[in-house]
Amino acid sequence: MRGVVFQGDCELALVDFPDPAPGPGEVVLAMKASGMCGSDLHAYRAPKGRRFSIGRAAEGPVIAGHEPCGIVVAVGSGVGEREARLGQRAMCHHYKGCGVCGHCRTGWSQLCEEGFIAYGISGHGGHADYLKVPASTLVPLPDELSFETGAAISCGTGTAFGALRRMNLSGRDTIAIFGQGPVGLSATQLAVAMGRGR
Amino acid sequence: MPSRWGEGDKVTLDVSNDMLRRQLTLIASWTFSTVGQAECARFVVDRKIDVDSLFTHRWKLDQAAEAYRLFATHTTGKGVFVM
Repeated sequence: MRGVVFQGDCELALVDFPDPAPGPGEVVLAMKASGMCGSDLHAYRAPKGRRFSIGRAAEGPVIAGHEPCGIVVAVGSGVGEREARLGQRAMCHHYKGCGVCGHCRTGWSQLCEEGFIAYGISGHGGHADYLKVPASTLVPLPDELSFETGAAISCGTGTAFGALRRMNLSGRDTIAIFGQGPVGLSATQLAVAMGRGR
Repeated sequence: MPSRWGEGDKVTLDVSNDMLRRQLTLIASWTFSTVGQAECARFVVDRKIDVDSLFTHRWKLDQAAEAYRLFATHTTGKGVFVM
C-alpha cells in the first residue's frame, strides 16, 4: 500500500508500505476518507531532524492523517462481532493508551497516564490505502453520514462538539465564536442546532 | 481579554477585574472521548447538519504534495483525501 509521510521542511512523499494485517484485537480499515487538519502543519513544517509528535515519540517514517474513516476489511483474533465486523463503516478515535487507567477506561486514551499513540502523528495514520488500529478505537459511522463527514467528526467537528457540550449550550445563550476555520465553522453549525432545539 | 486561547498560548489574567468582578466561569476543552465522538455523529444525523459543506477540496493520495502546499497557504477550507 501507499502512505503519505511528512519528511520535514514542507516536503512529503507517497511511500510504499506492506499491506497491514491485523494482530490480536486489531482491525484493518480500507480508507475511504482521511481529513487534513491544521495541526498537520506542525509536522509538515517541522525542520528536518526535529520531527513533531504528540504522545509517544514517533519512530521511523510515520504515515500522516489523524482523521481516518473507512470500511473494516480484516479483523484480528479476539475481536467480537459487536466490536467490528467485515464491511462495517467506521470512524476511528485515533488514540491508543494503556487501556486500563481511568482515562482509557472512560474513552479518553489521549489522556492516558502511561502515554499514548496518536495515529497519524506518532503511529501510522489514515493518509494511506489501509489503516491498522485496535478494534477498541472504532466508532461506528451512521449510514446517513458520508465518509468525509466521518473524517471531520474524528477531529475538528468532534472537538467543537465536545466544547459546546461542556458549556451545556442552549437557546438561552448568546455565543461568540472567534475564528471561522473548520473548527469554528463546525462550532457555529453545531451551536445553531443546539440553540434552536429540535 | 485575549481572544485566542489555543494550544501553546499563554495568558495573563487580572484575577480581580477579569474574573471575580465578572463572576467568570472558565471552561477548557480538548478533543473528545470515544463516547463523545459517537454522540457527535448521532447529533449530526439527528439535526441534519451539513458537515460535508466544510470541505472545499477533495484530493487523491498522489496529489498529497499539492494538497498540503495549498493547505499551508491558509487560503482554503477543509481538505480531505478520498479513496
